[in-house]
Amino acid sequence: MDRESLRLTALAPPAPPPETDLAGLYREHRVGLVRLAVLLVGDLETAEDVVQDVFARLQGRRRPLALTLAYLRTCVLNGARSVLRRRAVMLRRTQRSSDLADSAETAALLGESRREVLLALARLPRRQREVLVLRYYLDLAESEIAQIMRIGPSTVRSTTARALARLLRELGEDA
Amino acid sequence: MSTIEDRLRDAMAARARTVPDDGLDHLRPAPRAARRRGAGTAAVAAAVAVAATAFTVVRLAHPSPAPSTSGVGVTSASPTLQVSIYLCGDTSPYRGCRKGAATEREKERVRQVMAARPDVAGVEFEDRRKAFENFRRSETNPRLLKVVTVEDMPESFRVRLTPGADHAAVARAASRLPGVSNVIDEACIRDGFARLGSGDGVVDGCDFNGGG
Repeated sequence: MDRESLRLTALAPPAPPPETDLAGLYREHRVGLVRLAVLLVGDLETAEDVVQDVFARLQGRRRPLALTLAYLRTCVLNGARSVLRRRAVMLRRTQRSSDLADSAETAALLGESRREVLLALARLPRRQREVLVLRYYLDLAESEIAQIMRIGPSTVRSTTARALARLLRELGEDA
Repeated sequence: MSTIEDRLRDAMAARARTVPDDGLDHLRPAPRAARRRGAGTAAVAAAVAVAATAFTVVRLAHPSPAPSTSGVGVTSASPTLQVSIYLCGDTSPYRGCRKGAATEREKERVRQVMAARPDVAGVEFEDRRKAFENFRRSETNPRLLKVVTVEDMPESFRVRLTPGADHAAVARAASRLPGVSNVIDEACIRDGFARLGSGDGVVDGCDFNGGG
């Protein structure tokens, strides 16, 4: 079953050619995963680090039986979550808001309407944001989203509905 | 008109497209050697330091201190946001730049006028190279990254304000000086995000064009 293939295995992977396998996956999917991550964490540098970490970790001993794209996406989701958690802690501690302001260059270069949407997206609760990214960026089916997020399909549905409703509220009537 | 779903699709696709295909690969090695534990923390630190991210702004955005009040109780965590004064280059398209690049004299005048203001805490010059470094760090559009060179970057003054200063007034004053192409009020941008969060409008009027 799908779920089965996704499970982490406690056993060490069969030795033969893990490196080439992983290197291939890296070449093929890195950019796509960074794009996914950037929508979850908000900036490129962190996104690249998240993906880098995922691959670095996969070189270690803990490996799923089959390395699938869905599994990699789950890893990225998890990586993004912990980054956001740590970032929140750090911000509470340091209170140095000015360091985090959008640079003037970035502000001047970004499109207003899209930025509005992305900001609203960033304000959503974590799970709602993830569902929207998987659904409307990756165009995944409910079942695939359920698989990647490890939640039930009905939860995917209800979370999506709530997230859209909230976005609508945040963006106002003009959306 | 466009539904929320379409807007979402469009915005996310656009954001994703800003991630270059391979442009930044040379900046970081492929994950050959496993990274030390705790590398993630370093990543966060770097991200926080750079943080050219719209995302983080939202978390921090809080209402600005009232503009005109004299130095009463400094709004506790009031961050020192800057006003960025961009100077005319040879090819600046701005109205205030019809006479070409800002002269040394004009630059010095901008510095002096700004430094003399009581609501200004400090003035720093940012040269093209520094601007280019910042740009490389924060810009994610691969096409821009490919074509923009050091020479394309504007010189600028970064003006730090005293707590409670009227940012807009400083920005407007700066925009009237000769040799200034445009002025960006970062506090205004941030407050715009705050307003956005409270469903009260969008960022607007934070950019003051020179010469007017």
